[in-house]
Amino acid sequence: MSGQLAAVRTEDIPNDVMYHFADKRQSYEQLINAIYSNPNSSTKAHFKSVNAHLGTEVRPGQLAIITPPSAGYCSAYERDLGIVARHIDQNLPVQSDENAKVAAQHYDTLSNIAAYSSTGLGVALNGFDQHAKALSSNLREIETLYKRLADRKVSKRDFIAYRGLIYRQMDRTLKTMGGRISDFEVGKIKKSLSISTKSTIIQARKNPSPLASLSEFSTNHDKIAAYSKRLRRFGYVGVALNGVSSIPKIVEACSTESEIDCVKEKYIEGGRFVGSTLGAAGGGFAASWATCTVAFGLPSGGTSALWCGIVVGGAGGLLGGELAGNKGKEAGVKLYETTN
Amino acid sequence: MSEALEITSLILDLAGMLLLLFFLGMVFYLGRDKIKEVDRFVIGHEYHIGFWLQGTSVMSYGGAFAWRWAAKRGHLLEIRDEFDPHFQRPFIVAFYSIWLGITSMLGGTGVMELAEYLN
Repeated sequence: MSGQLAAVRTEDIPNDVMYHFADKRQSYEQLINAIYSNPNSSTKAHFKSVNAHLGTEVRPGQLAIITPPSAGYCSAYERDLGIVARHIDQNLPVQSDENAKVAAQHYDTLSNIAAYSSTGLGVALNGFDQHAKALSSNLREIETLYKRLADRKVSKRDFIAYRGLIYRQMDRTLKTMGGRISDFEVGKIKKSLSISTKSTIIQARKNPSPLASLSEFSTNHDKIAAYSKRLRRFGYVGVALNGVSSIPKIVEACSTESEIDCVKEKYIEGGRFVGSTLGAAGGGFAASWATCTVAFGLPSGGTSALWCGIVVGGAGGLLGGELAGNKGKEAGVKLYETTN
Repeated sequence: MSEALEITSLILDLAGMLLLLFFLGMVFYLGRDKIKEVDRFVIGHEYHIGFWLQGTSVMSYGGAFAWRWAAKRGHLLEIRDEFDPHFQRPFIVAFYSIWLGITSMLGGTGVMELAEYLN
């Protein structure tokens, strides 16, 4: 498919090219009404011309292209997006409606995850590295400034002014590193295109995954479809594995030892399972909040917060699970002794 | 004396576990629609997928509703004015329940250590 598409740099993607993934089965008319608030006939005609791949019934996961009716300049991009949309349509039969719905509703989150895999990781780390270098340079400037003040080569007034300037630069860099997703611009474009504020619209050039070409868009979408399936089960697998690990110990106690030991083992392992599951959840959520929100001040919904939550929350969960698992065991023993 | 301390430790542990269980229940309850409402205001669309991310949002939104300073740290000051106290209450209750649960379990550990020391 890549041969059919033009390579487009992210910065060349027009600002007002947006797209929407249908999140349920609906008629073509219902989709238009979900995207636009009070669409007029020219809006409807333009929508139809750029979304020729959509039939009378729209399935979950189908891509709808949204561009301003007067925007002739992005017609080549619209054509290429149309090819991608048809490619997505061809792959839809292998996706269940439920997975397509999850992918459509959480496209940004999943896209963030896709952005950090394979080549995306390199791109993201490279950007982070540049910001870190800028911060390092700012800190050196402050150090030099303090030396100049100590040597009386700069007045106190100028020192405060220069320092304020550097602080503001650092603040801007830190905010960028924090990965704040700015929706204000998307909001403005939505308003100018009369797009309903309730619809989930993604701005093409703000896609978190690197989209050097439209063929990457398609690859990215395929990844997102796969992630949506896996992420729905994220967390439940850990709980299930934790529970499964208790079973062999109970089976062993019940098959090789006395009935008393068998019952006791059920209390102990039951207590461990409950304790470690609750402790892992508590430790994970608390560590994630204390570190990512309070210590780092990362805004909710950003890529940084997502990854910080996964890493710190994972570590906190491991620690909490271990500690509370032991407590659960002790509680199991005590309960057994009390009840028997 | 140490017997009483052991029972106190057990009660604190069980209370902590019950509070954590209550928190998880609240995540299920809030995850059905209330988190999505705050998401739509903060990010512009529904963001949280799966139970794990919903739990992290209950913490950030609950912390922001409960504590002005935390709201400022998490860039969430606006949500304190946007949502009425009735809407905020379950988030705040969930937020305090997890911290009370953790404190209770840590307290249980402390009491148990004391009991072992006295033995």
